[in-house]
Amino acid sequence: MQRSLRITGIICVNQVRRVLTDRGTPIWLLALPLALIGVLGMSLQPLMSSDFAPSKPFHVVVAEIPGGNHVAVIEALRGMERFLEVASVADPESARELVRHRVADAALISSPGKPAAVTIVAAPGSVVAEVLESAIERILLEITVQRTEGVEIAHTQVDVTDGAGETPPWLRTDAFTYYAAGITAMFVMFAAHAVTVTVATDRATDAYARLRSLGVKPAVYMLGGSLAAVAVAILFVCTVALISALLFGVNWGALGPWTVLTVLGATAAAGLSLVVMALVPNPEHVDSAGSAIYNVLAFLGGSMSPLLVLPEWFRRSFAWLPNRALLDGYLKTSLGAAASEVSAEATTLLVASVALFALGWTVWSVRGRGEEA
Amino acid sequence: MMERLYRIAVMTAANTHRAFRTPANIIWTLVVPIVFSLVIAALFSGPGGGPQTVYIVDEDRTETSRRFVDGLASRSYQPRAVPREEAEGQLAAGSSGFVLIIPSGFEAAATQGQPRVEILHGADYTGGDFETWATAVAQALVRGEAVPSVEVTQESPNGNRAGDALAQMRTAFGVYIVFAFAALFARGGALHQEREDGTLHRLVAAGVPYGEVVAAHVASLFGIGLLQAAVVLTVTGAFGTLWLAAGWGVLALALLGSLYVAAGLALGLAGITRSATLLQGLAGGLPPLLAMMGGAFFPLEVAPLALQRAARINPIFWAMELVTEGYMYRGVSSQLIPLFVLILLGTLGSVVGIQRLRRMEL
Repeated sequence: MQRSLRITGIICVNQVRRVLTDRGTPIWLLALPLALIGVLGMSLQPLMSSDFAPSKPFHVVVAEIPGGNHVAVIEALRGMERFLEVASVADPESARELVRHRVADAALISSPGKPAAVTIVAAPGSVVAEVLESAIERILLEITVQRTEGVEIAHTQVDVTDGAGETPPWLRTDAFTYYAAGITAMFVMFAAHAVTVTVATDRATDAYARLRSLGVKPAVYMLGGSLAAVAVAILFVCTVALISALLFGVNWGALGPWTVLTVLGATAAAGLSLVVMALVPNPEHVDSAGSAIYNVLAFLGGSMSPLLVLPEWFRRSFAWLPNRALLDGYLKTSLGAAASEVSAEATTLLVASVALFALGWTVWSVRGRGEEA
Repeated sequence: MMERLYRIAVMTAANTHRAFRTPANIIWTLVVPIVFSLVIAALFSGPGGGPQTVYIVDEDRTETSRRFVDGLASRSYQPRAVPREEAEGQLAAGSSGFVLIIPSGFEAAATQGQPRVEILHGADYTGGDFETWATAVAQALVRGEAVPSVEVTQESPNGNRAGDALAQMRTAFGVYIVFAFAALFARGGALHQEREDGTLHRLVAAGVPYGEVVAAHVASLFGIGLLQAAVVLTVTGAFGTLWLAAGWGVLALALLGSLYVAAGLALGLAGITRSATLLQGLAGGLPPLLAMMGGAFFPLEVAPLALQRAARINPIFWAMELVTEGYMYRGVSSQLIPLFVLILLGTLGSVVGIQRLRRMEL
């Protein structure tokens, strides 16, 4: 028993050392995630802020149409000077030409004799098209309604803070914190997998076979490798958390719940990595298979695109994923949640860890027996 | 000469075949880009996420109140009559910013020309748009007129009205280009892998000039890119992506420019680095980073000005410009500037790569 523990420890330390001394590790597991946090945080900070405005107003031209509503439209749009810089042009063709040559970002062309109809000429999917669409609908309605007398709309403010639910954490956070949590939840899988790849390499180079011939049991070898994966994943999270706090001012919250989430998240990532290794027969393909799977999981779990822009069904469908639970948990702790408030996420991670290790170990054992036979 | 070309062609074919030899490579190079292109394009390029659900508590329960609820349905709003508890629950859960209450006596008040409704909301509610719409519907109801309608049409600068489909195509291209860069960057390390495995030494010892090996490596990068593009674009096109909306010319320029720069940069990276593993790592991380900074996944207009300026040296920004200009603005004629920049960047990468690879010790 004591010998097995000693060998497990030696294997674990050796695997950790191999990953940490690899020249690619600082780039792959440190520079890249930090660069992603910086770039995404900086890029999406305005979008995730409740006070979003573009860095410079969009240039919009409105075509003058005899009998059209351009005067009222221009007047209404002038109230949006943080978003739009509005000018009028002589005719629709000139307006279209200015957009075609990218002199103007968008053009508005109303239909003669139809006060409630406007065509927006802009690149599909652009921010200016989206901003104009909602603004123009409101403006046209106001032009159409004109009189508001006779209809009374009373407003009653109610307290919604003590309701059955609460605003999700990803709606209450800034872009740097969101992506610090999201990218960490994504790369913790790569960190754990870096160890698994070295373990798989041992199979390819016969190092594993040699160890087996010296009496090392498969369980001991796998346990050493898995512990190393957990250790590297925890080291990764700690390093990224520390640097992101210093560089980007990310607040990770209280140490207690954060530690619980980190240990469970790292364990789940190591379990997932074990499953990948067990399922992929060729050791050379373990690395690329892991990359493919983790990128997909990262997307589904909200690490790449912010959850607030994803459809509700999408958010609900993948809330059970371990990396999503880790993201939610980190965001909650960053907002000051106590350990009890992240119990749902911790439970998800715990269940995922147990299930993944059980699956990985079962597949590995079955395949191992097949190979030895 | 013919013999040299034949040798290069054989090595190119072998290198290209090797890139698609394993199931993992096929999944990563072909299947994942197709799935991601379709899913992400569908998720992010829809018509603004559909109408907003408005929870309505109809306490009047009359014909007039029912007509009012029905009249509120529009492109922007989807009314949903629910019991008061459920409406308040949705408000409390944050799934709705406000709740509309139609109080009892609504029909009688409407008959007198003074309908009254109530909006329950949280502290951070600003409102305005829905109130205007509800007022318009109530007025129409009182006057016995049809509910007013507004008509806002989107038109692409080149006159195309398939706005959402074009936006979807652009997003799909953004996803595809990330995988194209990733695949070519990863294959850029093939020469290093051959050196590490000893295959390169054997080839040179057998009399194959090293320059031919490098030439085959360059050709196979482009071949892999073309093969990947053909498969990904054909399959996503079959699922409705409008690759041919602006004609073959625009598509061909968009693809050739993007593949040229990707292959050139892959070559440049292969020359600068000495390890296939490092290139594999860069292939996984660098393209998504460039894509995010280049406006492939979200519009750069939302980013700070400094980041928008920094995008001018980003190849993915210019690849996306190549598509945007071609499909949404003036077609081939407006693709020339982005194409020129991409050729410049690709050539720069190729020159650096070839020079470094030529000087590399076996």
